Amino acid sequence: MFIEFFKLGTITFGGGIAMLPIIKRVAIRHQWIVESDWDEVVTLSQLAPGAIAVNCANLIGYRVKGRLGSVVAMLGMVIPPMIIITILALGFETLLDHPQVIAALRGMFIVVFMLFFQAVISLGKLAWQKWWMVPFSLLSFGVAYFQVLSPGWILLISLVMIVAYVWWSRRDQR
Amino acid sequence: MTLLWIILQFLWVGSLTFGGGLVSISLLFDVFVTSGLLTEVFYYQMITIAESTPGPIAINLATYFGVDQFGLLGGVITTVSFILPSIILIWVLYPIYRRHENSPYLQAVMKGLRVMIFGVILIAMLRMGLTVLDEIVVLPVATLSLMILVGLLLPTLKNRPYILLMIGAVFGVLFF
Repeated sequence: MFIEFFKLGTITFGGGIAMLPIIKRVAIRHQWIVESDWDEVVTLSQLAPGAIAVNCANLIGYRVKGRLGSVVAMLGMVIPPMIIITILALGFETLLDHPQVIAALRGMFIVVFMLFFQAVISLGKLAWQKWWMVPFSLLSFGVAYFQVLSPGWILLISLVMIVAYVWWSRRDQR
Repeated sequence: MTLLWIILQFLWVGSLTFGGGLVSISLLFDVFVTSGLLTEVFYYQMITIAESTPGPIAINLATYFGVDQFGLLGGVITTVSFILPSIILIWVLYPIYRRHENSPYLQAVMKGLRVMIFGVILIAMLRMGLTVLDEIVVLPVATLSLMILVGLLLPTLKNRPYILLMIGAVFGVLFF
């Protein structure tokens, strides 16, 4: 399992949603999960905080061999990118003095922005399922942008308020 | 800045990165740039490299920052701090989820948080967009033609972003 996740960690670009179909194929081939379990894995990977691909490895490992399994699968997933980034980060300290490297990074940043923009659009379609949700997004945008609260606190407070609202509306029904 | 403060920051961001790595760009901006640790320019160089290498972007950013600030071991410490909350939360959540799969709380948290997270993600898009706008003002022809080219290729190369990133690198070396 470590080797399979190590391979996944080496080849998967883009992270998150783009990686999920590849992880699914590998997990089903090795019979770590069955097809009908997959939805549960995806939902929980997104519900828990953190990188989706790492959560996914965590869950699949956990189902196969408990906590040991989740640690093994996760290590396989994160060790390759950690090695690559470490080498780059050490190398780039000197490389960043070269104007050509800076120029290449500037060009690549434009592409990163466009990839990000595309991801934001597909996320927006998912998030704004009803019109009245739009002002809530704008509220969190405004509060964080004008630094009334840091984005972390906004998410934490929202989480508490959502749970409190569901509790309150269910109490009303009873 | 002490290592302990950084560990706490990564534990905090790791506990709140709901719905995947995109939101961590905004959360880490707060830790790195708003706090004055890194310049915005360097942060975007980090993001560019994190997006161009394999692995989840949040993991790559955590490792990069740790190595850059504290050396080899620092990269391991920041990355582990980022992952730790999600490991523990999944171990706790999984049995609960199995018992209450259709709980209205789970549905509401998923849908509701997504709306709030989207607002936080929009901030990162606005900030990055302003940087792109600067490039458009300085180098209008090169930047806009790169954007149009990438925009045209994006639907077909969605799953091969590294090809687009290579085009961006070549464009950058030639025209920027």
